[in-house]
Amino acid sequence: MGQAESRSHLRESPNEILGKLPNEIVVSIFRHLDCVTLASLMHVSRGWHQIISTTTCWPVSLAHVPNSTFPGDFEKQFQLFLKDPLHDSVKRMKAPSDTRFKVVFVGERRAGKTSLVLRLLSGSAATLTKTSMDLNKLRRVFPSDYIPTVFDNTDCNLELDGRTHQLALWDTAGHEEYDRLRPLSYPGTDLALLCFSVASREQFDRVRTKFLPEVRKHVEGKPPAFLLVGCQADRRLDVGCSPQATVSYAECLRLVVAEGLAGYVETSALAGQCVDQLLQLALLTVIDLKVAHRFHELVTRPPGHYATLAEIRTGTIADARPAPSPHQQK
Amino acid sequence: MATPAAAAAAPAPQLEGDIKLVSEDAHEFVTPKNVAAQCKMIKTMLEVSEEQEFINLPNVKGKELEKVIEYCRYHVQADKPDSGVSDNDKKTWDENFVKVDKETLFNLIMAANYLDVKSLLDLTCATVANMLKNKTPEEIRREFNIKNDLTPEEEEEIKRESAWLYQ
Repeated sequence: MGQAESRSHLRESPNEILGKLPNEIVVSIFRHLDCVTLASLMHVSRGWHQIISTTTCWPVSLAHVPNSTFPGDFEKQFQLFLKDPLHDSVKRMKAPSDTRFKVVFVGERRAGKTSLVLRLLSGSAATLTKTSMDLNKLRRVFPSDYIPTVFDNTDCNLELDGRTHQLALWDTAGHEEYDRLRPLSYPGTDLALLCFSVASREQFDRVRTKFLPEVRKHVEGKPPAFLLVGCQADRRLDVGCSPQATVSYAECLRLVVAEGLAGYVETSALAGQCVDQLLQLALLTVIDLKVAHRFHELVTRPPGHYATLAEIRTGTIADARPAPSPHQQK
Repeated sequence: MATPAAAAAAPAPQLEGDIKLVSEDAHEFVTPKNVAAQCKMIKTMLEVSEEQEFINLPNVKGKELEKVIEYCRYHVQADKPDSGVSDNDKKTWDENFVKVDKETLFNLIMAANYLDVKSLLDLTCATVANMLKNKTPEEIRREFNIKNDLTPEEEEEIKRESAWLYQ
């Protein structure tokens, strides 16, 4: 039915449709891809290169459990576990609504951490459009006067799959003078957002050389997850900003892979770009991390205190307890 | 031409009766309102005025509209908590549903986007994404008939940018 006629009016463009799809749809397709595939797709055409290097198809597809958090064989086991179609239900049960995650923003001074937190909390980011008029309007209300942060924390509620989760957002001081004070914010961190301005290579380098080791050193016990956050994405378009100084997507992703971070998000607090996605990704990452920790505990339990895979799947495991009783099913 | 096979079981309380959907090429589909409402765009139109008897969909062709309705009809049934359809069955059904030729698939994406059926859009996009995996750029260009408009210099630049991936 309808096949013949449908074919005939498409005759003139048998296969070109993919090239003709609107960008927003191409982005939705790219969102399903991993970063290696995306990098290879950059070579296909100029249009695709542009889409991939300037849009938000990266961050979401990069969301994965940090692979440097756990040593050796665990990683492989866990990847298999995550591929299990049932793991979504595990995620949900692992993250009861009363869980509070601690998210710390770190980065060099003037990276835009405070602006980002303010934007995350204002919540209306998604509705803002990016015309220059709006930008100018925003520039007037935005914290253009620089007031250094010492530290500041705020709670933020976020819904996922019908459950509300609480993220405690900790803003820290980027100034060197506070190098001794900043680590006080680190204990108990679930997720550290490593912020830098995409218009500053210096800040980007400092993420790797200073902040990443600093957080790793000061968080005791369960290792946190890291997200690399490029701030001030709007400055990529600034005329006054030299192309040499700006940090490219590829460099960011290289750092993500090299250091085993959970992903990269490029945001603009000013334009409201990707701010909601950042929160979503942050939440998914912490939940993934919690599941990873939990799974790690389970597989490393002493004999006699183990859980069966079925229990992990159905979420009926309690904390360490004696070998499963026979009625423990589903 | 095509008419719905069987009427959906129990219509949702607020959406009773049928609605006639008219595609761009004037095919008419009489569809239970609760099935049609899976398309957010149609749902909005139904909410605006309850009295209308048909909806014109100027951006969707009959063939795709029929597929979209088939998808919605299945999921209205299968997503009911008491349907007894397992997640695996649904997945298999979805997989078979998108086993169509490329044109149809891309038209389905456009239709799902226009009619605003998020789960179908996700499904079809993921299918295309799978087609892009593990292929060289040259193979992709050939398969999807995309023109390579990158200058050799630009290609070099991109290669340099992403060299770290191929080490």
